[in-house]
Order: sequence, then structure tokens, then C-alpha cells
Amino acid sequence: MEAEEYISGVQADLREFVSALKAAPAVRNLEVAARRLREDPEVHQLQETLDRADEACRQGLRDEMLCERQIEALREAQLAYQQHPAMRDWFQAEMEVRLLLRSMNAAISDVLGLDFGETVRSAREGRQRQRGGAVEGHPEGGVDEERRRHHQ
Amino acid sequence: MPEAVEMIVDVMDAEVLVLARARTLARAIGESVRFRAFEAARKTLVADAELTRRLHRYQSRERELAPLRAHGGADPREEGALEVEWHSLSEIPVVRAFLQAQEELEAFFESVAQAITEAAGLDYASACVPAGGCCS
Repeated sequence: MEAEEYISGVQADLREFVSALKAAPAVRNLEVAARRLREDPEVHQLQETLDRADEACRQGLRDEMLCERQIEALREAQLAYQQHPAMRDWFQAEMEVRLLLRSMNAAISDVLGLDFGETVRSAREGRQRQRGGAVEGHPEGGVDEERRRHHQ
Repeated sequence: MPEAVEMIVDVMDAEVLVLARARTLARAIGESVRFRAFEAARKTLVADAELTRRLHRYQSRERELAPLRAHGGADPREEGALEVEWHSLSEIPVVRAFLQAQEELEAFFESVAQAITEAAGLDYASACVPAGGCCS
């Protein structure tokens, strides 16, 4: 079944909600921060340095020749990447949206009597969750999808 | 009103509006056919005390076996017995109806969450991991 068919009954409310969410300053800030991150050549350079240092360590591990210098280079590359102002702004903006989404999830879950976000995670996980897990009202499970190392 | 204070008020207003609309959306979800079907299926299942006990026993054994299974130390006979029990449980119409309703509800929730993810620019389900979770 198509996604549109699933949400047809709540389409109008979903549209209103999405429009309020898009207008929220936290979401707008994240959009700006993500754009800056994508467009900043320094960030791209730091990302490449980090990728190279990461690959050197992996290769060192595979060859059983990983040395302290490679580990130190990786640490330095990680630090430089994380501390770049554009990256720091993105982390801050991301945290604010995260907090907003959590408040929102609490509001939705309170009305429904079950954890909305948890149900979505559990469904997405695709693992064989504990069978019959939702008998007591809370579908079980939940695992985070692999966190993006870098916002696309 | 100073500009900074105005800005804070704007941010708060925007968040209050988002939360109000989230509650309205939740009420619409709660009144939807799929949510009501799930609630009805769950209620029917829970109303059968013996079946509920059997499911809980199954779940409890499943929980005990999970860590052993992860390390390859689960007793194959125990595993087999559990599989037989699950097969038998899932043949029961009430259980089958519940699982079907649950699957439909999850697909419905995922569609809603996808729309939120696109609007927020951040994956909804991942963002809801409580602080202190492995990836938060």
C-alpha cells in the first residue's frame, strides 16, 4: 500500500502540522546550518582529511601494523572536523531540532497512549522483535539507524 | 519590547504552535480506522486471559533465550520448542488479527513519521532516542 493511502485520513492535520514545523525557528536554523556545511570548502577539506586518516587506520588494522602516529592523526582530524565553526553550528542546530522532535513525540504519544517514535523505530528495525510484543500496549523494540557522520 | 525578548517570544510561540498541531494530528491518528482497528484487536487479545498468559510465557522464554542466542549458546531443543509454540500461537485467529492490525498501524505510523522527517530535516525516529541512548 502506498504511503498516501495510509495517511489519507489524517492528511489535512498532517499538512498543517508539517507547515508549522517547517516554520519553527529551530528547523529553519538547521536548514541554514546544513546548507552552510554543504557549501563550506574548509569543511569538505577537513572531511577528506578525516576520511584519509580513518582509512589509514583501517588499513593499519587489516595489516596488523596500526601505529600510534596513525591513531593520533585520526584523533586530530576528528577534532578539527568537529570543532570547525560550521560543524559546531550544525551540531547546535541539530540538537535544538532533536529536542523539539522529542517534545513533539511526547505530545503525540500522550494522546495515543503509546510511544509513537518507539513504534516507528521498532517497525523500521526490521529485526524479529519479540513476537506479540505490543500486547501490553507498547510495541517493543527500537534501535537507532546508523547515525550519519556528516549531514548530507 | 527589546528585540532579543521579541525573538524569544517568537521562538516560544512557534514551538507552542508546533506542539498544539502535533496534538491535533495525534487526535486524528487516534480516530483513524487503523488505530481503532489496532486498539480493538489488542483489546480482544488482552481480554483472553489464558491466551495473554501464554503469550507472556512465550515472551519471557524468548527474552531468556535472546542473550544465549547472541552467543550461540541457545539449546536447539529449547529453540525448536519455542518456534513450535510461536507457530501455534500465530495460528490463533485473535493473535493473527492482532499481528495484522499491528503491522498496518506500523506502516501508517511510518508514513506519518516520514512526512515529519522531510519537514524537520532530521530523522524523526532516530531523533526521539532518549538522551543517554547509544547514539544520542
